[in-house]
Parts: sequence; C-alpha cells; structure tokens
Amino acid sequence: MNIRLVYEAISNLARRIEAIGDTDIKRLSREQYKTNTLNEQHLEQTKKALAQSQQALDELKHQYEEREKRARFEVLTALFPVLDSIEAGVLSGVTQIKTMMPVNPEAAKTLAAWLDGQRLLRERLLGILASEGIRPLKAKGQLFDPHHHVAVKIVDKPDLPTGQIVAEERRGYISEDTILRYAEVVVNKPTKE
Amino acid sequence: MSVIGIDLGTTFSAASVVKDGQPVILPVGDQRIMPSVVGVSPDEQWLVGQSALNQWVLYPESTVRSIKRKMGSNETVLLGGNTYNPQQISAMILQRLKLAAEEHLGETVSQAVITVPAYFSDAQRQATHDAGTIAGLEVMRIINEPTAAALAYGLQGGHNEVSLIYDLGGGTFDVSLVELSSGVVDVRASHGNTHLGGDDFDERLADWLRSEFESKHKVDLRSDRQALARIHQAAEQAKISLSAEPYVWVREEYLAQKDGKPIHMEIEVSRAQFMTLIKDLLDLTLESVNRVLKDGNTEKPDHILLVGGSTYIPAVWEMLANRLGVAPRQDVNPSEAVALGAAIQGAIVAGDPIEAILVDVAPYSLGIAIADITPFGLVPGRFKRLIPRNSTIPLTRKEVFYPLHPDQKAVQIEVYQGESSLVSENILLGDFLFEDLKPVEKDGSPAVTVQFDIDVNGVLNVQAVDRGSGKEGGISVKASSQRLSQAELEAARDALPEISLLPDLPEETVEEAAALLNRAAQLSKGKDNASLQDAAERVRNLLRTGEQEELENAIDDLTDELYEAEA
Repeated sequence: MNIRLVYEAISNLARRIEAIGDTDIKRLSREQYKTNTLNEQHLEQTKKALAQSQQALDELKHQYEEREKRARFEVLTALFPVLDSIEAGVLSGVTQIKTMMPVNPEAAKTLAAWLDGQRLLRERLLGILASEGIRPLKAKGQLFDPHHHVAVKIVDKPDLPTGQIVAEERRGYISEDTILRYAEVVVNKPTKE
Repeated sequence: MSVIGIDLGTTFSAASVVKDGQPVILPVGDQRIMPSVVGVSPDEQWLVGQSALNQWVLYPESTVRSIKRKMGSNETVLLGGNTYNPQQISAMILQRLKLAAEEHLGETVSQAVITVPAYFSDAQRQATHDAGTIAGLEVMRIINEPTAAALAYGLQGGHNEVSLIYDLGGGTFDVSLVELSSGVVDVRASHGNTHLGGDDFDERLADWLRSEFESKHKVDLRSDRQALARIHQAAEQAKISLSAEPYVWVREEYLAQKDGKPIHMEIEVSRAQFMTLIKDLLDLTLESVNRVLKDGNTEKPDHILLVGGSTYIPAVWEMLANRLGVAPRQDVNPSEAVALGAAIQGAIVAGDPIEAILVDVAPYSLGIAIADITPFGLVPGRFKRLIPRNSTIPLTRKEVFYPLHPDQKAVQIEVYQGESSLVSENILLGDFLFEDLKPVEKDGSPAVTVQFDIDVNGVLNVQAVDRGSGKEGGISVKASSQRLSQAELEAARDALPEISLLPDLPEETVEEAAALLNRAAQLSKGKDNASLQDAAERVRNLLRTGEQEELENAIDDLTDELYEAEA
C-alpha cells in the first residue's frame, strides 16, 4: 500500500472537513450574535417601556390625588361666603337683641335663642372645614403679614403699633401652608408727624 | 434644558413650558397666573406677586404695580430707600417666574422667550430683553403677543393666512392683524386701548346693582367702602356666570342697615341687561377692529383668535362673528394663550418636538329653530345658535325663549347642527314637544329656558324648563365631536407621499439592522474603529436604497466586525 497516498487522502479529507466546519461554525456564530444582540435590545426596550409606564402610572396617581384634593377644596371654599353671611347674621342679631331688650324682653329672648341656633350652625360648618384641615386665619390683634392678609383700609391710631390689624372685614382660611382665602383686614398706620 | 415661555403682562404674568410635546402653564404656588406687582415690606423683605399686591393699600409707597407701562422710559421708582429702573423691577417678576419654573420642573432654567405687545417700540423691547438678562435668563427671543397667540392656536404658517387677534384682558384691549407665511409672522396692523377691559365691565355692573339697591331700599351705599367692595366682587362673579346663564341672582346678605334693621341685596340680572350696560365699550373695541382691518388692507381675515379672559362673554363672539362672517376661535384657554404660545416658540428655538394643543371641540354650531320678529313680519325657520362652532367641550349653555303667542301652551323644540342662519340648511338632530306651559307672572307670557349640555363624546343633552311652573323636559342626541390637532393632520397628509417611497424591506431585516447599528454606535463611542464604522455606514446606505440581498450581506459583515470588536 502507498502510505503517502493514504496520508494525502486523509489530509485532504481533514482540510475539507475543517473548511466546512469553519464555514458552518462561522455562520452559526454570526446567527447567534445577531440573535443575542436583538434579544438584548428587546430587553432594553422592554425595561425602558416598563420604567416609563411605571413613571406614567406614578404621575397619573399623583395627578389624580391632586385633582381630587383640588375638587374637594373647591367645594369647601364655596362654604366661605356662607360662613361670612351666617356671621354677619349673628352680629346683626346681637345688635337687634340689644335694641329690643329694654322694649320687648320676651321677643329679645326668643331672638337670642334663635340666634344661638345660627351660632351652632356656624360651629358645625367650621367643624366640616376643620375635618379637612382647613382653619380660619388669625387676624385681629396680629401684625399685618402680606403672606396671610390683604390690607383693605388703614386707620390712624397713634396708641397702637404700625401694622397692627385692628379689624377683620373678611375672614381668611388656610390649609397646612396653603392660603385658601386671604384675610381682608383694616390695619393701623399712624400719620407720621 | 427647557426654554420657558413668559407672558409678562401689565397686571398679571404667567410662565409655561412644552412638556411631552404639549405646552403647559407653570404655576406659581397654587396660582396659574401671578400679579405683576413688586414691593418691599417694613422689615425689608422683597415681595413679588400676590404678597406684594396684598400690601398695596397699606404701603403704596413701597409697592410698584403696572411697571410694564414704564418700560423703555427713563422713569425710575423708589423702593426700600433705593432707586430702580423699570427693567430691574420687571426682572424681579421674571426671577420669581423662573424660580417657580425650576421648582416645578426640578431643573435649572436659564433660557426664556418673553412676549411684548405688538406696538412696543425698540426701546421697550430692549428694556424687556434687559430685564430678562438681569433676572439671570438668556432671552432667546422677544416675540409679539399676537404672534404667541397664533402659535398657541396652532397657526404656524405656510399658507399666507391672515389672522385677527382680539385680546380683551382685565385692564387692556389690543387687536392685531397678523399674516403667517412659511413660518414667518408679520404684524400688519395693531390698535388698542390700554385702559379698557373686563374690569370696566365689572364696574358698570357693580354700579347698576348699587343703583338698583338704592332704588329699592332708598339707601345710598356710595360712602360704604365695605359694601361697595362686596358688590364689586358679586358683580365680577355675576359677569362670569352670565357667560353660561341667561339670568343670574345676585344675593348679598346683611349688606347694609336701615332704621337699625339689616337689609339684603337680592337682584336678578339678565344677560341682556348686562349687554346693555357694556354695549358702548364693546363698540369701542369694534372701532379698533375696523381700524386694524383698514390699516392692514383686509376685509375678512382667515381666522379670528380670542385672547384674554373677557372674551368668554358670548356677546364678544357674536359681535365678531356678525361683523366679519368668520367664527372666532377660543378652543385654547384665552387667559393662557399668550403664555402657551411663548412656550411653543421656546420649544421651536430649542428644536424640541411639539404637538398642537389638543382639545375636544364642537366642530359645528348647535342651536334650535326659532322665529324672528322683524319689521317685515314674522320670519320662521331661523337658527338660534347656543353653542358656537369650535367651542371647547364639555360645555353647558342656556338661553331663554318665549312662545309666539302669550296664550301658547306648548312649543316644539327642534335641535339643529350647522352654520347657516336658516334651519333648512342645517342638520336636524332631534326634536320634542314641550307642553303645559304656564305664564311666568299672572297675565304674562310663558318663558322656557333651554339648556344645551354637550359632553366630550359629543352627546348633547337638551333640557327645557318652564320658568312658570318649573316643569322639565328634554332629549339626548348625538352631535359630532372632534379631537383637534391641525398640525398632526397636516403632518400626516404631508407624510403620505414619503411613506409610499420607503423601501419595501421585511420588518425582521430592518429590526435586525437597527439593533446591530445601535450596538455599533455603543461600541464606537470614544474608539476609532474604521472597519466597524464602514460596515455600519454600508448597512445604513442599503437601508435607504432597499436592496435586500446586498443589505443582508452587509448585515453579515457588520455582525463579523462587531464580533471581532467585542472579542
């Protein structure tokens, strides 16, 4: 047997097998790489989409809560003028009672009892506001604060400090740090000599 | 970094920014607009906005309002013992808006577009620019207020269109004629009145209420400051309500005293009465409109854009529609249009994507059939509009109507959709018979309040109420609704020819190429790999030309290069 010929045949066969293997391995590697790259991209896109969805959901939840809070406050702030009128009514009633008492004490007492009901109504409404964290602003006797009060009139009382609030014309309301309605006040500003 | 838009107004200012393609207002605290007021408190604290306005009556010597009127002049103001020019005062307002924007956006804001009136001189514009610089802002543009409004309404030009911008605010009135052509806005003419606005309408109504009260109670409130303040506030509320309601009750309890007893205000105001009170003021604005059309050589504009809170008054819409034969637009919030438009200009300058402001509107006017009584007799089949075209929805509107004869016991209510003044040329949506009418007063005529209530889905609920008996009746009909995005429609139209020219490549191949190009870009960062970059460029070119077989070969080559690069 010619060993050289067998060796050559085996070498040729080996080279052919190697060439085929290389080509297929190369092809398969390329496909694998493309697939891996595509999958990684999809994963990145999915992660990004999920993060964006979560962000959008958080944003929506926050907006919903804010909107709900605003809507509640809108309804509650509509009570402010109602409270103003009840207080004006009570004040007016007190004046009437003083006038009537010497002349008609029984009628004055009846009016006083009726007025007490109005006072209780006022307390009930203030209670509703308080349950939502809304409270009246302090005004009379305080120093004017432009972040809480609106000056609507000035008076000249030299015996009082400049900037002291001497009267409240319209009550203000606050919730935590948010002013819902500024208090309209009369402020002392003595004329300088 | 965002470029914010700022409407620096005489009485109020506002800031906005384009976020996710849409312009939004940037609130200052809880308020969407901020008074343009600056002051110093006795303890030397600087106050800007509402807090400054709050101390105006108490410390007028330490508070500055309407500084815009002084811009471009050499006038100075004394505040806290120091002298300031108008630019410095305006800068404080701009700075406050900048701070509010930064709080809201969570990032530093250093660039802005600021609006000015169309009639502002060069000196006034420069002063505004300087104010921005002093406030720490790079002023990218100074744009005219009518231009900003046009942008807010989505009119970015391209068709040589002429728009009338009718701006009726609280204290000032401006009307401009602008021409939009290929993205360029040219103000052809402008006119106005710096002391005419919604505040004057409030004043007229308040005065009428006071005199009605005096007639009834024989009590003169002219020296009662507190009562006058309450009447003024009530008048302002009534004015707003009358935009939707034909009649409004004004009630102020314990307003005054007479003979030791409390007296109250309880007066019903009609929209017609209110119109009578302000007609001459509206006519003044119409004179300015006529003047601007003449100066701008235009008889009929392509668009009428409404700006300013006072344009909510229905009579304003009707006056302009009747005079010019064009339905005015108010689909963008009139109080915020200028600020929103400034933000859009900012986004354009920054190269950010913008969508048109999306709103739901009624694309057609909605109303009922009536008969008009004219000098020539009765004219039936007329269309009475309750909801004008392009009104933002949801919306509610009411009107009062009277039967032809006082003894009439029933009316047929026919609901139409369309723009013609004749119902025969409009579309009938539905009708119903409303019976058993009672007179409002003894020996009087019945009256029926018709309410139109349209929701976002275009469902129109029509309700009739007999003012004599309180009886109700009505129907629901389906009207048209439209999501308005003019720029979106135009872009889609323009894009169609391009779409048909794109290469017809399999989706998987394109996706594969995109993923590999993305990876190539990541690997090329900061590295010089010529063969990788060449392979990527070849794939990009073949994606454009659409040669599939060559593309697939190029993709294989790119893959090999990536493999080597990652090895």
